[in-house]
Amino acid sequence: MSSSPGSGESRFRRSLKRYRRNLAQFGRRFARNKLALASVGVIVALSAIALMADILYDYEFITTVQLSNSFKSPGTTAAVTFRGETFDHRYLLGADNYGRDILGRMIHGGRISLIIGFVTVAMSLLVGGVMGALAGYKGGFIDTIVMRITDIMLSIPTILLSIAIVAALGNSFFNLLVAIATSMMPRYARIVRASVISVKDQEFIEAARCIGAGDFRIVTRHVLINILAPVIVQSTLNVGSAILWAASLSFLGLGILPPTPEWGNMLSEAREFIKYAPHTLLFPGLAIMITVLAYNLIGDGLRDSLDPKLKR
Amino acid sequence: MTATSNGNDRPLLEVRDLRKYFHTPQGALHAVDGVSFHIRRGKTLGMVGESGCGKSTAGRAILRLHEPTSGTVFFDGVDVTAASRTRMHGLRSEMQMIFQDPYASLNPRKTVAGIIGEPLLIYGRVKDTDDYEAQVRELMKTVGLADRLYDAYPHELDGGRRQRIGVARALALNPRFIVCDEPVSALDVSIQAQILNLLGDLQDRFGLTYLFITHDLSVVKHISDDICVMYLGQLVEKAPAKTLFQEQVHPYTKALLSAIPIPRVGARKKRIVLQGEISSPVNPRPGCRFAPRCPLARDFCRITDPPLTEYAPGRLAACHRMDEILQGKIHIQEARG
Amino acid sequence: MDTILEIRDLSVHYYADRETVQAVNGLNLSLTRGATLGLVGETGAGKTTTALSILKMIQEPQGRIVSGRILFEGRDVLTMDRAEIVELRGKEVSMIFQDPMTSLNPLLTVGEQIAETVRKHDRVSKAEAASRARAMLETVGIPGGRAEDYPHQFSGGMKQRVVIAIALACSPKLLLADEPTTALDVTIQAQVLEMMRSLKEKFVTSTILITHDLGIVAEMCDQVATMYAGEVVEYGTVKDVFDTPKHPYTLGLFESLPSLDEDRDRLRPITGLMPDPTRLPPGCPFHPRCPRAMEICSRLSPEPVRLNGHLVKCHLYGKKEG
Repeated sequence: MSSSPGSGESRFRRSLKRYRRNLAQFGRRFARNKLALASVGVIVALSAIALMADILYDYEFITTVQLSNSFKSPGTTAAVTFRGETFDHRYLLGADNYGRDILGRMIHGGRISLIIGFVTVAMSLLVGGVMGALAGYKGGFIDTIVMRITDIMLSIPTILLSIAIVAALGNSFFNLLVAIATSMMPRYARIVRASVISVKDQEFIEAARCIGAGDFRIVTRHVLINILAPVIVQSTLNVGSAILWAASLSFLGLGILPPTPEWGNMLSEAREFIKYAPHTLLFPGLAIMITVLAYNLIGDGLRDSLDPKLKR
Repeated sequence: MTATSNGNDRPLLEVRDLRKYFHTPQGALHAVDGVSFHIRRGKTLGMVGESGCGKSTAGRAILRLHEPTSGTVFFDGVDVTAASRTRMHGLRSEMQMIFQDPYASLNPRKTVAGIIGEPLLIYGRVKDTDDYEAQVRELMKTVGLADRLYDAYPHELDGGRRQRIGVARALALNPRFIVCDEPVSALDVSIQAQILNLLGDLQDRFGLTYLFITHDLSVVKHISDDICVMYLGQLVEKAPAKTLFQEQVHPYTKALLSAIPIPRVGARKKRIVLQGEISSPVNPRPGCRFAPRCPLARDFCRITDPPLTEYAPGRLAACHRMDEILQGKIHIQEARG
Repeated sequence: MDTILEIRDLSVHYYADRETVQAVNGLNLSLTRGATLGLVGETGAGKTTTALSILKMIQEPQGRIVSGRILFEGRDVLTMDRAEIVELRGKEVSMIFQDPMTSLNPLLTVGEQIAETVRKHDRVSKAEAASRARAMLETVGIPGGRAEDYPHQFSGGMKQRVVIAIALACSPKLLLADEPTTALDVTIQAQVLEMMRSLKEKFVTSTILITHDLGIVAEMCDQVATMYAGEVVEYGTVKDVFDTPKHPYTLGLFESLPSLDEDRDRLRPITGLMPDPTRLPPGCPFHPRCPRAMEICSRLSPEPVRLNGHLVKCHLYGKKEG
């Protein structure tokens, strides 16, 4: 389509203006939700700290066993021997059963845990969502096939499924992500399918067909934006379970193996000492909890600011 | 587009033996069961009937929102039912629909402008953003929506304004034919009157042809040129609006008209109160669909379907005892004097 | 003739998001024993809220009856305690809701649902209640044998008959019917109205019939009250109000209706929209839409004026002073 340069320029300016206004409106609504905003801050801060892990703590140091310092309480200072040198080290959050610095391990572990939480959810949402949307919108044969696949996946105990995937693909970080994402995928397929079915029979979908909209347009412009709420809620909840799931797998000797620190396996290693040294369990637990909570609050904020009915 | 050869006498829409069956676990549901009619250019055909009579399904089958099971629909001489995907896309822009529910028929996540402008985008009828905005604002003006509502969301508006959005969306592509599916049923009377006036004005201004589906007989009388009455998927009577309200042939039409409460004291008229309720459209038994409730039914009514017969110019009815009724030999017993 | 129900100066507000919805504002109404009063008006006029207030069923804390008295046979419903209210509901005053699909419990047979109401108010044996339930069903034109059936086995019209049977099971003195036939088809509506008329003769129940259909009012009611923005703007016998409507809003309603007996090219709708109940206009709430509004209308709320047999709340009639 051709247009005069003048109107082209003004078109650009106008669409930019409209886009900016929509974005600003969305931002304003999101910003009004103080908790959600704070949660974004929390996730950003956690990610930043995780990124700077190598500057803050030497990876080798936090994986070196210092048996004499086992279970040191938070805040104590003790002598450590590292690379042949002996010096005083302050254990800000205490030491674990091998005398390793808990804070340092948490910071390094955060790199892995945050990636697991985010990437697995994104992967399973993408694949499961597309499957669910196809099944719900098309119905019939496609629906039957997709739903039988998810039924089969759900009928296999998830732990076995993950073990099978890691065993088949080999024990690597990426394969761990695939294994976790696969085990969460059927949930998304089901949620998206159910939501799509509830939306697709509404009159406005029929109206869209009436004005000549094709299937792709109907799904992307009319169906998906109306099913965001349950999907967002499910996704944010799953961030936490993905991190814990990774821990269970490493407990079984799959995925992230000790001494590599990761919040989940720090937690499972510390379980035995819960009575004797609760701080070894407390801090990684808190880290997971704060992350999950922050994602949930962000999810709520996103859901609300995307819903025009809650505009005020 | 302009009318093609020998244009204006030919009806704009012609429906022949249209059928739409749905599969249910109990069997085939005959929602529309052999309906034929035509609509003259620039006129309104009112289609009345009670819930479950198949009137909405018929409207949707004409637009192929529901794929018809059999039968043909000619739009200005073009067979809609046989049209290919691309051909159908073109036809859609000429045949539009206004929906019943002003809440469910608008996407809650889109703004007023987004809803009205969407057909323009789909059909590439806009040159640029300025043109888009101008066209949408013009459509809003046409249906009487205030300019400031451009960026509003449907939930911020009342039923009447929402229905105006639906009308504007249907008008966006400059259609020649619009199926109005109970467009005022969900509205209060004062708002209902505003929308009816709007639809009338638009018809005059753009030469639109309407199929107006409703269960409200006073509304259908007001807006229609011709009226057809449906019962269980079939047409039982068709006549010009004025004549139908003066004289009805089919016992169902008589009962239906006598059942309307009239807002005037002492207007209580002789009323035919039908026994029973509409029977199931799943695997209907042969014979007249109305026979189980008809006070005049005889054994032969339950054997064959009565054909829709033209008994006077432009007046058709489907009743086995039509001749006796027309000759005044039989009457329906009325409930109250 | 004595008065069974009198509502004086009733105001009901709902609270949402720091806003106050003024649903009913200083409503006055009275109902003669044995009569049927039609309550007409558009969505949001406060018809249902008024009916719910009579049963003290306004949900707190979202809604609150802020002032007024509702005298049922001389007793103020609003000052009754919980036990008295429970005794009143169903036994002396019962209500029929618009949607028969949702007002029945899908898990109980219709017979059980009628019997439950009977047993709640009258101390009778289970068998006695069950037989009364069957009798009630037959009264509303359903074979007694269908008492064992569940609601989903009934059609819409039949369900509404069951709802009416439940409402009348304890022979209440006052029946509140909220759009009882709106969800029904016209031939079914005709059946239900016919039945309600004959039941009224049989049970001599006083009725408040809420509807937006002026035709039903003309057929069923003795008196009629037009409601607008939570007030009764016109009140009188159906004959007076329908033959000589006085209030511009009532007139507008009649003008808006497509008529079956005359041909009009255009309808004459009331312009504009119902006012926002959180921001009612000052003075007469109808003045922004009123074709005959005067200067005083935007300043002062009109007092009801008695005009040959009916009450009109409009400045057009009565003393015009500031």
